[in-house]
Amino acid sequence: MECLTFLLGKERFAVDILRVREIRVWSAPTRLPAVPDYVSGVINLRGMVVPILDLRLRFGIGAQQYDANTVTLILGNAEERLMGLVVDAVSDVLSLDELQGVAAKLNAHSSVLPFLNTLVRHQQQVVAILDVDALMDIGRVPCLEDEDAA
Amino acid sequence: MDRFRQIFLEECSENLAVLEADLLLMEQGKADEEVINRVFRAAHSIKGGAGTFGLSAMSQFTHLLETLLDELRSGKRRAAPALAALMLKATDVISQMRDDAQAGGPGQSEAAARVKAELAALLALEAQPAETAFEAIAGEGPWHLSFKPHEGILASGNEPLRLLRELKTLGFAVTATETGRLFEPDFDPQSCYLSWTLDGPAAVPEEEIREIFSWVEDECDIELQRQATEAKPQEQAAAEGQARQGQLEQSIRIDIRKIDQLINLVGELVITQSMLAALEGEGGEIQERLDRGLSLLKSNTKALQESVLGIRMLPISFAFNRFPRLVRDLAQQLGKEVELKLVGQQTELDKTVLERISDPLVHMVRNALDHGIESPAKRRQQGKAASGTLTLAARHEGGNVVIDIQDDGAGLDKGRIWEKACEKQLPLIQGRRREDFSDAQLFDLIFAPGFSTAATVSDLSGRGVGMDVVKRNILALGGSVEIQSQPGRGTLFRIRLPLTMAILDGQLVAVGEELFVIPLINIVESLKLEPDCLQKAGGGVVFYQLRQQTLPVLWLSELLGTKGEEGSMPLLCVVEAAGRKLGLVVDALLAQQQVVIKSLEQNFRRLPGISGATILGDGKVCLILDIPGLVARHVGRESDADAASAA
Repeated sequence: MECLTFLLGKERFAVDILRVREIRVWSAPTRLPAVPDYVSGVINLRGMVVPILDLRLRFGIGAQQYDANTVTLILGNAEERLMGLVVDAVSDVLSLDELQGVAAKLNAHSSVLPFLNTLVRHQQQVVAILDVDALMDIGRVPCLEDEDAA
Repeated sequence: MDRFRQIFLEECSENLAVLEADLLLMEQGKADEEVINRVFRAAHSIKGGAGTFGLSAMSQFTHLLETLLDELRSGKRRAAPALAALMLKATDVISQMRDDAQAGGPGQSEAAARVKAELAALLALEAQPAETAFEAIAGEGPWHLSFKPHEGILASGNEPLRLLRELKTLGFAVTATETGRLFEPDFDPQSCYLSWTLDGPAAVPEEEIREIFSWVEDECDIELQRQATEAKPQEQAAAEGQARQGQLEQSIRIDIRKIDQLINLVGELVITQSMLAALEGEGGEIQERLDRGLSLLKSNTKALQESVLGIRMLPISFAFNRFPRLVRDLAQQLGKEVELKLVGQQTELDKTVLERISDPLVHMVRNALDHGIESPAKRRQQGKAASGTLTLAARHEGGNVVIDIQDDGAGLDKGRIWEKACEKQLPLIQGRRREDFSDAQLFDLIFAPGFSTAATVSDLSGRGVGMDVVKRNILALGGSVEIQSQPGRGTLFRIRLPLTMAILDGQLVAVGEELFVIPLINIVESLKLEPDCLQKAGGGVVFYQLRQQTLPVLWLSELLGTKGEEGSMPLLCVVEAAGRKLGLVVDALLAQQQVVIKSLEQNFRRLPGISGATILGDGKVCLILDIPGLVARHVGRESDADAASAA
């Protein structure tokens, strides 16, 4: 399995490269009502309205000023739903067999945990491989008015 | 194979629709030879297809029906109403089998066995040859006419040529001319020696032919007879079938996804076009040429968009054609006499809208029959015709389709509605008196959840769906429904629907740096906001005193979580949905334009207050406000029930 790695602050993450549809330069999205703050809004991707999520905010790594390196990964799932993830910068493509799994005890309160597939070591660094389906699960993105609607 | 099977199942539905419609005609005694042939062909193709795709139960069952129809067609049996009713039941069974086949079910049922036995029993009986009406129809071949003028006919000033010309206008053609004694020595130029034989079309009534000869009856011999129609019914049927197909518009089956894709692409084109149009002209020759090209592109794009959207349009008859049967069955069940009138069957609307309006229509028709139209005895008592009339009428009005469901029944009983509403303790009426309600508002109560006017909930209307569901479905389509009713005169339900769900006329508004689209249909008026007219009331809710009305006000910026600045006094856009108004505070009104509706749910989820999104000329996404949803959410406690259902 080949993975695309990217940076959020100093941490390295990766996703299955086959799920990456496109890498775009960040552009200002249209804001949405009643969504958590890590949902930046929606953009027009060749006629489709695609939501953009800020992964730093979602993982609680702290906000970042968007700059020329800020990129948006467009991920797709089996039903060809699309979602954009704002990350700091994209780095390498790694082949998983070069990677060695790391057995590590994780902090159970980490906001990354629900989306984590596995941890691997690459050279001197630990890379967190993320579960794309969990990331893209809209059910996990609450709508602020869900409660009073219920 | 699966694909062909699916096509067969679809065609099967179409054939079943033909069967049903024509059998209904037969039941009313309105069937002619062509109808019988059409029914036969429909049954025949169902049988054949079912056989091909291994649906043997269906094939065997349909075979019985086909055999009966064949006997009808060949005149061995009469098209009696009872027979048609039985065949209608058989159609239901086939329809059930079709649905089972679609769902991969067993395709065998008790009802099927019962009807099958009835059909078989009937077939076993010695067929009663067709006697009266039917024989006449079966024997109606083309005309054969022999016309022999007496020799002296010319002396009375009657010219055979004129008669022949008149026959020709009826479609008659001369097949033979006999010259008689023309060449004999005692030839008299003032006498007529010629006689003719002619053939004419079967459809011409006998009286019309006789009429032509009415002046010359005693000056000629006429033999008028129908030609025998031994005429191989099968071939004839096939020929007719082809003729019919020739008249029908040609069509092909297309996967709806392909069309959706096409619509999307055209939507893109529209956006690209407006992007280009945003390039302001700065003069110069090139700019001029560019402008000319752009305006051409604009008109072409518009035409293309219209024709692509047109692909999804279907005549409303697709929704209407189930009603003759439904009304017949219901009327029988309820012991009522009802005449159904369908008007504007060719009115076209979007397939999606059409599909989603069918169930609400069925419900309203049921209601009209069950609660609206009275029993024949009661109608007579009131001096009305025993048979009630139910009219379903569709027409275009502006960018909308209007569907009227009108009965000439008892009308809505206002007193009864009020009683019922009190009894059910509807939240809508709490703390209000009857005098507070206008007639329209009172009628509107029947759309409240849990409401029923029937003294006893009947098997027909009490199927767990109320008028509230009907209204919700119509609102979900971006439509509206209103009621007019007069005691003893009847009730009219008027549904207004958008033609299509793919585009809408929108008003762009600016709120700070954000833009929104408000559907034009919801906007009542826009005015400058007078700070003095604003007042806060219980719990920080802000109201606006607009002339005699007090409107709740919503700062659109609030929607995005940034409370509007109190200092700036912008515009108030008054919107209306479900008869209730709401003021939206915006900073500026921008262009009005048609927008292509994009779904938010496709990649994300539904959000409160937002019905979808569109893409503007600059490529940015712009949200479309869900006015019914916002109104339900913000206009007072009376709307709590609706808010829950809208969410």
